Amino acid sequence: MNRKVYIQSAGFSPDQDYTWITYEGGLYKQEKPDYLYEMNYIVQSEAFSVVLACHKKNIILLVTGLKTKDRKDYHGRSIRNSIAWVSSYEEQKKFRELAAEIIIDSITEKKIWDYIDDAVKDAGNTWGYEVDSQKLIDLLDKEKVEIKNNIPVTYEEIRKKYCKNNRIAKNNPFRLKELACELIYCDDKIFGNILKRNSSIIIAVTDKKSKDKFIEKNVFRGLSNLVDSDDWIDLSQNKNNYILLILLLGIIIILFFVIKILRS
Amino acid sequence: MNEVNICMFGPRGVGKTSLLTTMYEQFENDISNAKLQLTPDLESASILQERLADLKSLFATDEVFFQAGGLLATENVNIFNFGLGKLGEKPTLKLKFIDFPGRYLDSNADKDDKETVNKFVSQSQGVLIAIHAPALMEKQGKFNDDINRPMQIADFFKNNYTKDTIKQPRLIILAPIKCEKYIHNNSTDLIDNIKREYKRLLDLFNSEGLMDKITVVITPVQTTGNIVLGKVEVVKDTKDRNVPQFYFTKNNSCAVYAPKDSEQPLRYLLRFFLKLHLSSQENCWGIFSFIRTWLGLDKHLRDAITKFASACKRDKFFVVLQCERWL
Repeated sequence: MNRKVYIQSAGFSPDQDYTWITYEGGLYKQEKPDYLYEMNYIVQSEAFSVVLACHKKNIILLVTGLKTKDRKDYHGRSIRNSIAWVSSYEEQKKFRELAAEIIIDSITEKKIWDYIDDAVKDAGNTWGYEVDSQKLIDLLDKEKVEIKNNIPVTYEEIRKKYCKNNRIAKNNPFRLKELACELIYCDDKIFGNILKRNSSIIIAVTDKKSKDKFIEKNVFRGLSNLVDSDDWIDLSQNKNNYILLILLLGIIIILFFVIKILRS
Repeated sequence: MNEVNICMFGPRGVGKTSLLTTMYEQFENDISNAKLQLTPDLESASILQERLADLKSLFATDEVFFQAGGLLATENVNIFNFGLGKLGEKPTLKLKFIDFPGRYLDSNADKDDKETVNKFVSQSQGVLIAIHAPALMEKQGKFNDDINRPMQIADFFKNNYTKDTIKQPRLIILAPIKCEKYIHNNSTDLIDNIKREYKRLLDLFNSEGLMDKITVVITPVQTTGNIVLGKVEVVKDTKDRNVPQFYFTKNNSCAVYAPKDSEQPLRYLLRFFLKLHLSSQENCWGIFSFIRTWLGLDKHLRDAITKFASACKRDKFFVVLQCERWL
């Protein structure tokens, strides 16, 4: 188990632009998480977004667009934090629970936002901020209070509704809660199968991203305000319909030739 | 669809997204473009719509002095796609504006980031360099290096624009933004300061191997029209360095959102493509091969572009600095 946390924030001054850093062994280092480009591709990173992904046998949880309360840049704009937790595949359950907790928190009291805000402070270093990395890593082990209070469904209920196909929908509180349920209650086995892929985006929650990006990147669960359906759209069903149509056309063509041959 | 790339450089908070917002809005509102249409894709449209509301909301404030840096700073490369074509028909040209965070040009920038920006610039037919006009003009320009970073931009182009790498013409647009105060003052200090502060970059473009390939224009943009710089306060940052804070004010209590000249960069860009099309025998096409199919087949589209491009402004603020032959 080799947990690592990456933080992106900015300082007050013009030269303290948004930068990813890590803090390990008492040292700060400018360093980005692996697979970041691919994860950013399917979210609007300036807005609150959550991505759960797997890459090279690691599990990654990326949370972006966490607006700070008091920290501002020289233009007077609120600075935003982004965090990426990375660990080995075996920790997938803890990552799913934290993703669910953060998703629920975003539609309730935003206590985790405040917690993360407290862990990142203005500082007189190169980047203009410092971070309490341990505090952020501890989030993985903390009791998930928000989930207990806000997800009133049972394991059986979610099992009944579970859909193994890729699904996307408009980002709204109902779908967010459902997604959190799935993350909490789904079999390790089901997620395990998705995680066995070499690189994959499991969930993506964001503000403005077109559904085409979710489809292109084969996202398992995607929520965006640019998806035009409040209900889940089952993507594999569309794909299946397309395959059925091709099969049907194929049969018609074959029948046409068979009839032609029989007549001659 | 044929595709054109336009790289955008400039400090965070200068207003690059606002420039695109007002460019699109002014284009749509200009009745002389009756035969052309510019259509942002879904993601771009929704971001630009939000930015437009931000810009308009600046006029609703009761505060005398306020900061106007926009709501969101760019953390990553942002791409804004527009389709351009004849009115009522499917767009035939994709204009791809690529907005880079300033840190991509830092000497200590991540290797992947550097490669990304180098790749995009080599594939871009146009480059827009947004200039924070108050940083350039106020306090004798002493904060210009910190904010606009002209040396860093010059160094970047020194590595990417050489006689061997630039085979086809390119258009460089220097666009001072938040320049309402200086345009209203009617003084040419703005242009003189650009020429002085960006001398290293301009000298590079004017070097022997590049001078006949790089067209450079200055097109000042007033993204709000009626909000001007009010005051500059200097504060200390966490490293005890002086940092400016720019405060803006409305022209008068009844001032309304009225952007000016935001569409000029687009007019120059299309004028540049048109000229390349007309003088096709002179070039090897390379990254401009799209022009042949895009404008070569459709006379009506060509006429509409010609009309739109003919309204490129030329006065003491809109200046062609070199290589006018491609305009």
